[in-house]
Parts: sequence; structure tokens; C-alpha cells
Amino acid sequence: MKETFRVLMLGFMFIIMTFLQIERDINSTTQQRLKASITRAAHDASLQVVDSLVGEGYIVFDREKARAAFEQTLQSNLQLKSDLTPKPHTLLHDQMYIIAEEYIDDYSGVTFPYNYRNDEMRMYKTIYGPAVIFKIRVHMPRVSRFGYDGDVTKDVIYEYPFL
Amino acid sequence: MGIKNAMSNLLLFFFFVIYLFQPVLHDIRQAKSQLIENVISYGLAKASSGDVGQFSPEIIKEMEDKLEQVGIHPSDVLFKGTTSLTLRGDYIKGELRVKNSPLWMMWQGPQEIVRSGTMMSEYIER
Repeated sequence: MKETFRVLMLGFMFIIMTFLQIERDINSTTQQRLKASITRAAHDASLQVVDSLVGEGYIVFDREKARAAFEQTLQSNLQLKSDLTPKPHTLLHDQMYIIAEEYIDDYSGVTFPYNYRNDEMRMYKTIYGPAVIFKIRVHMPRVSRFGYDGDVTKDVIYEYPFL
Repeated sequence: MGIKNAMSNLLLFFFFVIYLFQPVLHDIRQAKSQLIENVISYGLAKASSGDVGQFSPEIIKEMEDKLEQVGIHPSDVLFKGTTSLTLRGDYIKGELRVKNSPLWMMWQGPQEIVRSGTMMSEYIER
């Protein structure tokens, strides 16, 4: 009887620890995947410049194309639909939101290097050329009550890749 | 009495082995997954750079070498991706499929770890 009780208690603890470990795995995979995806998406957004102005020596971002490229790359890398909700049976469980979008380019009236500050979004960086700035927020996926129940945010400040 | 004790100890031992080694198998898989994600990110960044524009054989070999450094044999790795020259603004995709080490002690888990990425090429024809 004593042995049975001991095995059952250990089994119960093992199940809880396994769930904790699974949640930790999901958490770290999500963090890593989000960071990689937002970096790639910002890279693709930074390539969307007004061609006619490039010829005159100005790097000016085409805002609409940049936003579209950012969303498209996010969708490809995170298996999202066009409205940024996740496809079934993928890593994320909730809709993603783009909570910050900014463009610093040759038409922004700044000189480089430029100390970018956004106290509301808590983003700070010295940028040496035109850059796109994005921040996303999504609810952390979880499979049990042991997982983190909250949002995760990732931000990126990506400079235009000069040749 | 002696047999009952032996049976219960055997069962206990069986469970203790599972309790000891299952978390280790999880950790190994998690570490492998993160490594494969890093390697495909590295390869994708190189492939999309302005003077490459594709997953060249050298980049694929570099990725396989990085995985081999941690004991993943190239025969366990399958790469699928954009191996043709891709101009600036078009998408380059890469996917790594690596044979998985056992995840669960009691039954077969996923056979492969799959990580992929998509990014635009910066390549310009000069």
C-alpha cells in the first residue's frame, strides 16, 4: 500500500514536471521563432523603396509596399492567414497585432547618425541610415494551466541594406 | 511476501528510470530544435545577401557542417529550398528536416525535426 502510494505521488509529480517542461519548450521556441520572423519581415520591408527617388540619391520607403511585405513575410514564417490569425495546428494560437510601425528615411527630416527614441514602445537605438521600425504583440501559446498566460512582444529596428 | 516486495521494487525501478531520463530526452530534443532553427536562419541570411541570391552548394554544405559539429550526421539531414538565382524582391525559402532522436521513453514520437524560413533576396544582376 505504502509503495503504491509512493509510486502514485511520484507519477503525479512527474506529470506536472513534464507539463512544465513542455510549456518551457513552447515558450522558448515561440520566443526564438518570433524574433527570427520579425527580423526577416523587417528586412523584406526595408527593401521596399521608391525606385524613382533612389535614382536621385534618396532612400525613401514605400510605406504601403513595406507594410505589405512585412505582413507577407510574417505570414510565411509563422504560418498565419492574411488577417494575421494562425492557421490550424501551428505554433501560435491567437491573432498577432502590429502595434508599432515607423519609417525613418531621407524624407523624415533627420540627419544620420540619428538617435531614435520611442519611450512609449521602449525602443532605443542609434541608426546610421534609413530604417524601418516595427513591434508585434501576440498571446503566448500554452497547452496547460502551467504555461505563461500573457502576451509576448518583439520589436525590430532594421536599417536599409546598402549594397 | 518476498515476491510481492520484489515485484513492487521492480515496478518502482521501472518508473524511476522513466522519471530520470524522460526530462533529459526532452532537453536534447529542445536543444537540437534550437540549433536547427539557428542554422537555417544563418543559411537564409547568407543566401539572401546581395552577391548570392540562392542557397548555393557552399551554403548548404556549411549548414550541414555546422550540424555535424554537434553530432548530426549529414545523412540524417534533408535540405529543401531555393537553389536557383533569385532576384531582389523575390522570396528565398529554405527548410531543414533532421531525423529526430527518441523523444518519449515509452512510445515513438515525431520522426523528424523540421525548421524553415522565408526571406526576400537582395541579389541584383550586374
